[in-house]
Amino acid sequence: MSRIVRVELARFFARRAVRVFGMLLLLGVLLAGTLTFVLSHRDVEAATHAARASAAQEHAACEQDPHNEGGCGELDLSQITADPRFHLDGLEDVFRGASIAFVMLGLGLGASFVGAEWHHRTMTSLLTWEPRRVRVAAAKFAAVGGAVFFSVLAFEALLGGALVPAAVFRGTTQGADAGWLVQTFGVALKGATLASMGSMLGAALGFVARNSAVALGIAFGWLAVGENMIRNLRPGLMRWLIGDNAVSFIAPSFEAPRSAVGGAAIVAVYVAIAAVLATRVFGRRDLA
Amino acid sequence: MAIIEIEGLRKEYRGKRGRTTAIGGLDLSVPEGGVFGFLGPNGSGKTTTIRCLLGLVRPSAGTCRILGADAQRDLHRVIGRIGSIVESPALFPTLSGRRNLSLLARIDGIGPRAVDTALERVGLGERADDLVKGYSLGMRQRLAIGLALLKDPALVVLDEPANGLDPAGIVEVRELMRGLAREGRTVFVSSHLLSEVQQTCDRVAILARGRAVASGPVHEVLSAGRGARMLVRVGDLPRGMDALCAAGIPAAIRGDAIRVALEPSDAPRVTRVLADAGLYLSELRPDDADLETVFLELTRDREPSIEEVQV
Repeated sequence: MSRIVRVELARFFARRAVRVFGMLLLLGVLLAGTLTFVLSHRDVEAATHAARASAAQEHAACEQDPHNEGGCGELDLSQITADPRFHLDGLEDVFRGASIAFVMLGLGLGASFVGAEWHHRTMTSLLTWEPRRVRVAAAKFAAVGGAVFFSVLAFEALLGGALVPAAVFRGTTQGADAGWLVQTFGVALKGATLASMGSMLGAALGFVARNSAVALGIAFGWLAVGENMIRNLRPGLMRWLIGDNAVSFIAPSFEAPRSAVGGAAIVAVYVAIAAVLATRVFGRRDLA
Repeated sequence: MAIIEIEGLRKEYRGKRGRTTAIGGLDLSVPEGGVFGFLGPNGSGKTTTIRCLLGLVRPSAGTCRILGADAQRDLHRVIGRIGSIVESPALFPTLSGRRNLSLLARIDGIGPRAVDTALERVGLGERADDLVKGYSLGMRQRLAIGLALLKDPALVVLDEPANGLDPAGIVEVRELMRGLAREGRTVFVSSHLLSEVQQTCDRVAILARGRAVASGPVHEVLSAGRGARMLVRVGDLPRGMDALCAAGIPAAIRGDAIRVALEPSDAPRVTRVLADAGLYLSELRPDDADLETVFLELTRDREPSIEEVQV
């Protein structure tokens, strides 16, 4: 089994789509690091002064406006501050925001990893080497899930690494202690886990739809349209939706329908059900 | 010992226009060794049979045994000894030929040296690192054959291996198949190139409407139901006819020759009769039908042997 998983990993990383997205992500990381470094600076006083000047200007314009009947209120310039420094302790939020992109990317790569096998009919070639379809499906799920998990972790590490110079030389590392490190790593792990589950869901849809585009259409159609409709029509069912549980997992809050663990468990159950159903369909299907 | 055994194989597909029977109770036995040709017109069920043998399609009824293993349950036990191509080559176009082969080779723990050997054997050594999308159809076909040979297989299943190949490529595939048979492997090949099959195969099975209508050694299939015949060419056909008829030999003029209804072992009798009449032979040979003729006779104008149920 480990041999076919290794082969599937090699097939995954040999794919052009994976390489292209990998390069784009590297470019994005580099760009994010450079832009943050350029935009971040430690002259808090000047930034505050500029912000106050801008606010005063806006307030004056408001008072001079003859059509403004509601008034412009009192302006307390001492309440206005600006901090142009990049805060390393804000990395957690950066990872949280990036998670959404990683999940979407994982979903797409998972769907196309399996969908392309059908498109090029290489599934037939593969099954003439390993006819046990359950093993093939399991290997594909393991490979795509593992590859996406570790790739996302690696990109998050690179992203963090690319932002560190901005914090050290032109921003602040205040608050970046051991506790922060553990918490940030936890968020990175959650993002990687969610992206991994997204890739397995994509792969499951690829097995059923036998086409990358159809699989992606189903996934995004459900997440963007189906779940939104349920949210509006039956708010009580929100706690059972993939999107809301994913948010509960990655960004737990009082408003979230479940705890982080509960959200992760629900998403994992959905992914497991999809994987089992996909394996069953794949196992019974004729490759004509 | 039979290397492939098919009993009562049946496969039905459900479509928009009802159920269609692709294979309707096929029985086939392929002995070990040699090249076995699997012939049939388009839609006769050749590829479906091969897919059933390789576990890609689930039969509606019947059993397939390949290298002694049930193709539906135990194929994994013997798949390492089976090299195969099913229909047109299915390869990743954005990977090189070498990469395509090496990725699959790893499943069986086959190393890069074997990959190189297979690529050389099918004449793709120099283009091995080019992307498959830049290959011609013939090159893809060669690569697929290379893939089938990677496992050092005891049984090679080739579905239309000459598809897309130029005449030189076809000859190479023919020689390759004969070479594989000489190495003690069994080659099971489906093809519609009847002259190729006749030159390459030791045994054949002819499939029509999902059933085997003839099976056995090529010469037996060619002579089945045709009786013994020889063709005789002499300078004066009417005199030759007279001489043969006078000697009680059943004969008839066919074109520019006389067809004699005798076993080839009776050739000395024919030469003596004609020589006694002062006629000298320019040709005397067995009147074998070619495979194309037999194939057309067996597959044409037959009553449908299986039903196509429209629901």
